[in-house]
Amino acid sequence: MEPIGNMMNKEDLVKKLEQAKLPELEVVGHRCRLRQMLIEGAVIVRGRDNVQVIKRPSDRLSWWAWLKGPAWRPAVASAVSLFIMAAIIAGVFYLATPSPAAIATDVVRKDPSIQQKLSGSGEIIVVRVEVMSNVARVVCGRGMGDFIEADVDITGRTVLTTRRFEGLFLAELAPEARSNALNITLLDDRIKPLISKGATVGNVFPVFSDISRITISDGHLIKITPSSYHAIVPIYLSDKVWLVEVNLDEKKIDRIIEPQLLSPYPYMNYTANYL
Amino acid sequence: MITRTETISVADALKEEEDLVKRAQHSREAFAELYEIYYQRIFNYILKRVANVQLALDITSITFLKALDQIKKFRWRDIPFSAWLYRIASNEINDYYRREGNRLISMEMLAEMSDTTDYAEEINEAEEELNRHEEFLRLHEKLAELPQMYQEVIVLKYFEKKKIGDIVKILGKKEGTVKSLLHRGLEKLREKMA
Repeated sequence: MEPIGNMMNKEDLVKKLEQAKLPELEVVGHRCRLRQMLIEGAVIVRGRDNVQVIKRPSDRLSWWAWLKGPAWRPAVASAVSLFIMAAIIAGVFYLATPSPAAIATDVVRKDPSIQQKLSGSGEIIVVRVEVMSNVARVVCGRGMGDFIEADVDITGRTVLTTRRFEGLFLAELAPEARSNALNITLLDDRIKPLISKGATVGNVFPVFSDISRITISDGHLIKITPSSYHAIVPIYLSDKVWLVEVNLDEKKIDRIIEPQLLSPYPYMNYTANYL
Repeated sequence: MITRTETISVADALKEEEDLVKRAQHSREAFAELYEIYYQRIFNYILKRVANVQLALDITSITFLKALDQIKKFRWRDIPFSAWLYRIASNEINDYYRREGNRLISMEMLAEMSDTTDYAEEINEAEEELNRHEEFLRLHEKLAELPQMYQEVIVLKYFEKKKIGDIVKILGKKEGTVKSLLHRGLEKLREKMA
């Protein structure tokens, strides 16, 4: 070191720097350890307070390291795994198992005796399902007023008893719609001659033709909504009946079903003379 | 004078290293080969900058971990791989001093690297060896009083024997800037040595 106050010239300083005996050290242990960390996948991340944190592979595999600990750890892990699996299985079972109402509906639709008892053909419409313990009370029909109430054993998936309803489930038209249907019918030139011959008008009822309009309310009750705003006006003359299908939206008669013998459906015989 | 054979040999070595770097971009094993080539050089460069064995080891760890992390972004045409490693090391040293000696790496890592009895003795021996380089330590003591920008050009030029062109690549500065830093750094060091 040069004495204070005697400034070293640049050449001497450069010479001093160039000729200084420099440390050339090696710490083999560190070299090997760092190499191992690099190969095993250590990474560096910025931690809190800007501190650089080295994440070792063991950090990423800490779950396994944890498991390799005392015996209670794998036991806890197994219990948790079993619980999760049981919860998943229960969830799948719950989702895969149909509800009692769905089982009852299915039983009724497939039951041969009900198929036979209901008049007409086509798909059976379930109007209402009421579940009581292990028995469901199902009301079903094929539209046009022919309905059956069946008690279904949900566990046994069988129909226990059946009772026939007679026109009970025909939704009633609003008074204004009923009045409109009557007016449109009575003003029709094809109907006027029948009336003049003494024909009577039966109960006006709505048309159910589109089962896709079935909606479910309060869990079990199924309501059938008319596919469109149509009404049927029955005209009775002697032993025949004319069914007049009135389009209430367009305020016209869509069709008059040709006279036939009085309907086998009892409700159609309920007549009310509006004239 | 470089003979034709030597020229070809240097070119082959560069090509070989370029291939190794490309492989290291996808393989940790290949990176480990690069690590073996450069570990000693980088550690001793850092040691000359910080004159502290444990600190030099820590910064060396960070340097190579960052190199591993960023090697996919490395483009050979920009700078040679060695210059790139020196640049990372320089940045880490400057970063350490900029944070005024805040912890460089996690305490967990320090414990992991330090408590190991397998090379704790080695570190002690290295520190003793370093302490025997009294002339270097006196020079470093004066150098340490200079701003980092002067320290790095002086260490690279006179301790690492790098050419100005190499320093330009390592620091990513213009040649004029490097020369100016070197000139002013030496002047300041001369004042400190007085």
